Amino acid sequence: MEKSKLFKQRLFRIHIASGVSFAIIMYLSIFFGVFAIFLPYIQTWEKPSRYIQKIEITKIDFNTILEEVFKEPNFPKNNILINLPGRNGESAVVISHRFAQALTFDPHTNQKIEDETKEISYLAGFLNELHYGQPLKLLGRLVFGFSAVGSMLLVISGIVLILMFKFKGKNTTPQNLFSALHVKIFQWIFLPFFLIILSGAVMNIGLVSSGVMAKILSKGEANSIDGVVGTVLFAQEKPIKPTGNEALMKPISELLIQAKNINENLIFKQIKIINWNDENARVQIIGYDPYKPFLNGGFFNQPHITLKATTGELVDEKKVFDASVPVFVAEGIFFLHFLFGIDIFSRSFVAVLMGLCGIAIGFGVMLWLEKKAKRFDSVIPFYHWFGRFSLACMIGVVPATGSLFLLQWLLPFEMSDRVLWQQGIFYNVWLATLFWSYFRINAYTVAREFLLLGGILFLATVVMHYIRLQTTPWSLLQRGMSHILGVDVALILFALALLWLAKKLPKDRETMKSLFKNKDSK
Amino acid sequence: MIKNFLKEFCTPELSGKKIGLFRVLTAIFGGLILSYLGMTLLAFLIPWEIKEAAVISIMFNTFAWASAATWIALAYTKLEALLRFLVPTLIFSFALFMLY
Repeated sequence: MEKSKLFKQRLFRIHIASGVSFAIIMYLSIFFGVFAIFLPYIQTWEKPSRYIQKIEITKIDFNTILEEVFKEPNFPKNNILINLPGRNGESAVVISHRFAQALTFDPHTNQKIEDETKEISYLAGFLNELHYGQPLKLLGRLVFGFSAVGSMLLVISGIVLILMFKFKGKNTTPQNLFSALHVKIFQWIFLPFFLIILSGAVMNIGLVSSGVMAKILSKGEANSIDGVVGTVLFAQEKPIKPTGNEALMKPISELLIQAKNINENLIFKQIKIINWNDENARVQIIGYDPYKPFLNGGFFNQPHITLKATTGELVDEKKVFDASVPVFVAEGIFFLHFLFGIDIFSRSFVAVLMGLCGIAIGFGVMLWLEKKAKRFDSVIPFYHWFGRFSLACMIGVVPATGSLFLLQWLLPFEMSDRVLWQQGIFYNVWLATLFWSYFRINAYTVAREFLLLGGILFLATVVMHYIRLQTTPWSLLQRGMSHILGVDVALILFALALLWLAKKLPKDRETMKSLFKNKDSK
Repeated sequence: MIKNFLKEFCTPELSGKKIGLFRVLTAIFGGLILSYLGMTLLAFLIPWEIKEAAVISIMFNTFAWASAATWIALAYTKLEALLRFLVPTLIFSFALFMLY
């Protein structure tokens, strides 16, 4: 009896202590992670050079583009990777190589596009960096990784808590409501959440710390884990020797149609060009099978079709199931985190799930604060430093991100140090929200103000977007750029949700409590 | 004095509402060493090639850490927490030493 009581107390205590320690960083990671889910779309939206009409990949003249690429003096000539438009909301043809800076081409005119560099436009990339702590370099990545490990501890202890205790979902007090929401949300979606934090922890901590393990496993031969698992996870291909005789190449668009006939389930995302203009030229068309989620399409398992570029003859076909079990394990764990090539509906679904996780974490912190506040019960206004800190981090980040988006279109593209200004102002707005939430006595008012400001900033972003572009949503639609209009629509919906929340949120703690009293008496 | 210390070390705390520094440190660092060695050993035990089994170890390494930390922190007494860390760690290190 005594033993089980101690066990339960400790389990609760561990959950609460690690929850309060890791909640804020985990919440931030989720908040920016939701933006990172839409990274491909934001990336196209933020760059005026990518405002290109959508195009069928079979109608692009890749051969002419390749000729242009070969004219570039500093670009490698073999093993070139063509990233197809249409994948991940990208509208241009991006030609990349492991050892060179990527080139961007307009698929309609086959002309090279001057790509905006990181110094001119870096919104989506920056949001992604904030998602895993990169602005603080290794330190940030480690801190975010430790939070991921801590969150796994929270998931484990949370599941045991749910199994051991019956949490009744009575909404009679704010505390009960917060508890019910925290438990209910995570009860339903802890599994995708767990997969995502597991893969996050692997990337930020597991790989960094794997040196010793690699050394032991390889009996002193390998210094990093790549030397041990590299050949398993990343399929190795034998190099194909060129014959030295020139030959006529078939149009790649025709080869794409041929590959589609070989496996019609595949959606193509990349083409690898081997020995172009040689008799022994190969075209490797890499895709993913959307009907087999969790098994392919990510880093490790990439089904592909290899054709002879001279005749279109099938050389080699790698199907989804032509991979070893460890590859499927890795693919399954990383699938939800990266959502490579996954369409907008599945992406939005995962984004909603993750948004719910963020909200559930928020309610967990509210629950803890509410328990602290109960001690003072209306005698004095409740003021706790951690509450104010979380307020600035969790709600204050909304207007800060809003300012980041607005500045993307407010600052002229010719401005020097543009991205530096944008990010600097973002950090300062965020710091200002910290000041404001400590300054104001009533936390509910602060939250309302932050949400209102966030809503206004996001709305202003969309307005500024059209002023800067000197165009209308209608003309975007007519020119076949619905994926860019989509980002604006999403931003407006997000802004409206923020404004609605700002209006609906109770004015203070007393109103919040009275809401429940009315419910009780009915 | 040592006797008193040992006695306190072996008797369970009165309340579980405070975890205590000893448990926290044993759970975090003990759990880390224990899980790291355990997962390294696992790669040898899975009946695949080392390079294939190592993928599993890498992928679940951090999860093992979280589980081990929870398990150690939940021990009945401080002594038990220490043993939960020491005993498997010694076994794993010995096994790895034999296999190396």
